[in-house]
Amino acid sequence: MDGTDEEFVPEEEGEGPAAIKRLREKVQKAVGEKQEYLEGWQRARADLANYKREEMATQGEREARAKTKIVEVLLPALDTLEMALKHSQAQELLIVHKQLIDALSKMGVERYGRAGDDFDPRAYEALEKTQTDDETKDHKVNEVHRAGFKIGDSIIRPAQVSLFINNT
Amino acid sequence: MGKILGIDLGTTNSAIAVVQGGEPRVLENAEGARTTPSVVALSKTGERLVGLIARRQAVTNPKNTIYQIKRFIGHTFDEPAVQKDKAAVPYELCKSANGGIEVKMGDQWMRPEEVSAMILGKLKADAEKRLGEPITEAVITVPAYFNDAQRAATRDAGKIAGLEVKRIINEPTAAALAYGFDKKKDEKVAVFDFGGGTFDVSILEIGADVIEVKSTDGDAHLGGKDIDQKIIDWLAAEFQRESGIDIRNDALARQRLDEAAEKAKIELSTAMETEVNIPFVTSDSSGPRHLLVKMTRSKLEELTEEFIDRALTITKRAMEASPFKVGDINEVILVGGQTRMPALQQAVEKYFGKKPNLSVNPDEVVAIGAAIQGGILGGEVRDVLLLDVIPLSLGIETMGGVATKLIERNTTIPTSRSQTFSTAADNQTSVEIHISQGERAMASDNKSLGRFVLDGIPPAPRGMPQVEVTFDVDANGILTVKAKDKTTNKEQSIRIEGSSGLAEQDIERMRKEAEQHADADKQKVELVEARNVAEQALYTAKKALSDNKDKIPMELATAINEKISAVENKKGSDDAVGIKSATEELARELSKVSESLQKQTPPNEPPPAGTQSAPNQ
Repeated sequence: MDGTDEEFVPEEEGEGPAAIKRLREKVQKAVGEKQEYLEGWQRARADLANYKREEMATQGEREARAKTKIVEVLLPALDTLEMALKHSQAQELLIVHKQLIDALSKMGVERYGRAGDDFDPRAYEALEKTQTDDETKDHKVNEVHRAGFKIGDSIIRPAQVSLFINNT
Repeated sequence: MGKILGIDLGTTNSAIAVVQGGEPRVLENAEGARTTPSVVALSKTGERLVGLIARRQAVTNPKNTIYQIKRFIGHTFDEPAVQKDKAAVPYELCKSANGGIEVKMGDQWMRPEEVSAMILGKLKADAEKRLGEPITEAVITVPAYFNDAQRAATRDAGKIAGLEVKRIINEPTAAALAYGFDKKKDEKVAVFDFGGGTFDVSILEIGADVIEVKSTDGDAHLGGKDIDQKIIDWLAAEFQRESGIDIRNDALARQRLDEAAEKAKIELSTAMETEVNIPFVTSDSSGPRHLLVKMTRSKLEELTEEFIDRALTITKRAMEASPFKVGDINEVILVGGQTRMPALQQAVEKYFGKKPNLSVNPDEVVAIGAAIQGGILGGEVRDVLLLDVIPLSLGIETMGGVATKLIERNTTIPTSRSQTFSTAADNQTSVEIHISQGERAMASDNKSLGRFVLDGIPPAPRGMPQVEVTFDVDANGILTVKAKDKTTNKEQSIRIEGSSGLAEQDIERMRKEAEQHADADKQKVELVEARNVAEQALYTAKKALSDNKDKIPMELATAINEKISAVENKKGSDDAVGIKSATEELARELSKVSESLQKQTPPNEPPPAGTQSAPNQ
């Protein structure tokens, strides 16, 4: 900004062609700068427009993520309950478990992962493998160690499983 | 021209960022994470997997899951370091025809740059998905010690992934760029990068237009993973001491131990003590067993002391290899998530004698620096475009002396905001616009920047006229305030130069005062607001009484008049709660009017308008 005034100080009176040459150079420089600033401005406008569009598009995603965060914090308690159920099928535990699963499903959270499921690394995490001679069992879930949870198509946490591998 | 993507292509994890609106921004990958594991795999069905999903299936497919490829890129097969690293990975490596390295994935032998290209390809695709535009150019970072062959191979990887690599820059240089240190001439900067699996330290000198790496040193096998392993071993030993059971060879228990150790490590960066809780970790003849161990920060520090010592020894070596003395270093930058550990920060601070910088997320600082380099190359980052912010809020005085802010402080300029106001009395034909600057709630406590009068407003009941007030601050901080009567389009304006021409200490003083008086100011505003609402209620009540003189039953009119005088008595006091409750009682009484009127005839007039001087945009 400081240079502006300086540039408009009247030039020393030059002889014809030299003065014109100088002015031409100045115009050329000004046109170059104009183009540069115009481009910068257009870019800033475009960035803003794109940013807004993206914000709108990710609004839903952000909401889902906020929900995901809450569910993630609660899941370890549910995990422990499910592990407890492996040792004891006490009526009280079963009731609490059902309540929790129902509450999650009301929030749109779905529990998944069963023995026999196809192994897909998008939704499952392999912890162990078991060799099998049965070809039909290859890459199928043998045992679910920790259930997976998802909201719609988005995975909150993959199911941790061991799976069958057939190498024949 | 599209964006130039900044890529931190790491040994363990990678991250991407771009410059948007002149600011660097980390982009999330398709899975919604800010970092992507540098892992590639070929599934049984021949599908190529990259990132988190490749890692999730690693156990089942170790031979076709390639990780830490960065250790091999641009190397020759016979190098001792390669032979050592080769022994530690489960996938197959062989010597290529020209003495380089090839790695086996499925039935194919590939060069490391082809594997890196798969990671870059995913990062590119994820960035395109986020930005909604094609990405064809990138800046990729490499360790400062990378030689020409490694740099060339990284560049090739970019090319294979369909990216024109505009520049390969050093990771420590990127970190310095992220902190804006390129603008500080003749500074000496130390970059301490404690990553997941590698440790690097570099000493940089920032010159007129170049950032030069003066020395660099490191340990390719020292990182956060070592610390995790120590914690795991300790937890397992504690459990064994108590239960007699060794869980280290139990794959399932091991997985949970891994997760718990990392969680404990992170928690101990902020807490002094944490409880590691792994219920049902295993079982024996007596039933299920639970791991429950208290871990203190000092225990963690004891476990990790040897690694910190090793990093410090290397740092001293790098310092000695540079032409500078420790005291010459102006800035210390921390890179890598592990540097969040307080003991590590203290060790670095003790050695350099100054507080290290980690205000930029240490997991993202390199990608951000790469994006900034991309921005500079693409002409998006330019000093002349540095935007200023206004230091103090700007607003006008409204009914009861309240300062109503139109532009909040720290708003980036140039900017423009408008809001519509109205009159406070019946048949008011002019409004005074009094411009106030500052954070205090009452205009009289703020700095007065000027005032002007807009007249010629046609007579109307209070609250009806609409006066639009517009504040415009240009790039030089010059404020123009305009008031316009929307009915007549008559307008008046004032131009205030030097609205931001306050000395730094004045601004600071005004902010401090606002903080100190925040509570008292809030009470004052509450009182004014209560009075304003009371005023409006009185106006409405009196109008209702006079408009419906004949229709309101006698006893109701008397009751309302009583409430009116109650409000009038209270209004002048400083008792905001008292004013509010008197006003509420009046409103309750008043609501009976419409009930009684409805019983007589259907209403043909809308109820009186709501608020007056409050904004009604």
